[in-house]
Amino acid sequence: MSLLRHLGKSLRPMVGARAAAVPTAGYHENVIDHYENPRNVGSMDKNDKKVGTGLVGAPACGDVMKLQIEVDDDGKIVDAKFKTFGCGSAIASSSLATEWIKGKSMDEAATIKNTDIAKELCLPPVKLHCSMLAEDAIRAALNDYKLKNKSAEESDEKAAVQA
Amino acid sequence: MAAKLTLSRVRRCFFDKNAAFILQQKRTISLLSKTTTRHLTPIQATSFLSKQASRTPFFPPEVGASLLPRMRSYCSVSRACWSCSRQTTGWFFCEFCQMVQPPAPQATLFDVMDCAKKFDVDNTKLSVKYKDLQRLLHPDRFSQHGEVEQDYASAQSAWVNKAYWTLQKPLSRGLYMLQLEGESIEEGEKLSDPELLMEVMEANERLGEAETEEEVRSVAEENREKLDRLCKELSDAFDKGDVSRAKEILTRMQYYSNIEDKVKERLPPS
Repeated sequence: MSLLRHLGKSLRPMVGARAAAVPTAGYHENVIDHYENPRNVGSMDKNDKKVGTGLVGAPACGDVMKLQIEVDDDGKIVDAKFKTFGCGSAIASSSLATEWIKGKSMDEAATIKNTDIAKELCLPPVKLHCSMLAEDAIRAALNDYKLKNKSAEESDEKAAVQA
Repeated sequence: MAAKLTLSRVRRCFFDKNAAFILQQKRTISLLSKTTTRHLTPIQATSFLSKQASRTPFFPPEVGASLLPRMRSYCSVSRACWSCSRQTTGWFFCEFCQMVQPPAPQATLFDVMDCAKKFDVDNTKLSVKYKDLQRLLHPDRFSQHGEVEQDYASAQSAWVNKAYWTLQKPLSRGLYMLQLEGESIEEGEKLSDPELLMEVMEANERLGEAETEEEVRSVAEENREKLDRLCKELSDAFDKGDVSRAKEILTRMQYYSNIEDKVKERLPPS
């Protein structure tokens, strides 16, 4: 019995060492990096005319992602923020997306594909939908901005006509 | 039968009849030994035996009997027993030779747990059924049996596990029912319900910012109410056979269930 007890004790450090050797089961280091140090987390005032908000969700896993952009008068994205409640891949995808769209024009930002994000993060096939979610979030934010400013322009025009 | 029948002899008698009896035997015998002396008179023993026999010829009243006749009311199975080749209607055991059968491919998880294919299930009944079945199919009970039977028993046991864990929770149960209707919520599907997304986002933010247990509890309560309401709606949708509505409700439930999981992580186990 005491032999068994000793065996258990002497084996324990080995178990620990094995567990420590594979701490990142399944996630690529790029994902871990974005997950642990997410860039541009936060919120902007969604009622601000300069801000476009994209809110998207993945029904299959219940993830929600909010991506916001701030656009200047020249149509350049000067700032981007995100908030994602979901898995590590979803968080990393949206973090990377905000990093990429910052400083880009709206047209350039619209060309970002989910495959680019997935490639950069080395996402496995089962996690591709996370990068799709990020792409959708960018689109949604751009659309929201366009819609807001179009209706603003229209009302300006209407006001001008009426005057 | 002139000699006194001992409890062990009564017990052995049942052992021979059916392996599935063992469990029930232990229960009944322990009840008997509490109320009577260890030695039974022949009359007592015979009446005990015949009572058992009249209730169910092959299976113990609570456990085995419920497997056979009631199963048939929801879905019928008829196949040749792998061991005795007779047509058996049992999901788990052949009613003739009592051998464990392989899982029947046509059975739904509802059939396995012997409950009606409805969204509203009785969780207490479900867990009683689960424990009973797992006791009957426990690998320890088949250690002296042939390899084939052992394999079937463990496959059945795994199936019962799956059935229990799927049917126990409303979300997984609903998703399974959706699957039975040939529908599912796919990976690439998009959700464009801004109101729901906003609500979920806000609940998540509130939970993230919550510092005291009270604050977490208030998020939890609100979320619980929403889930309860959705459960009722879902049950209604399934009753009416409205699959697309069911899918829509399940999508919402997926989000609130995620929040509930996060809440559970934050609260001390009750």
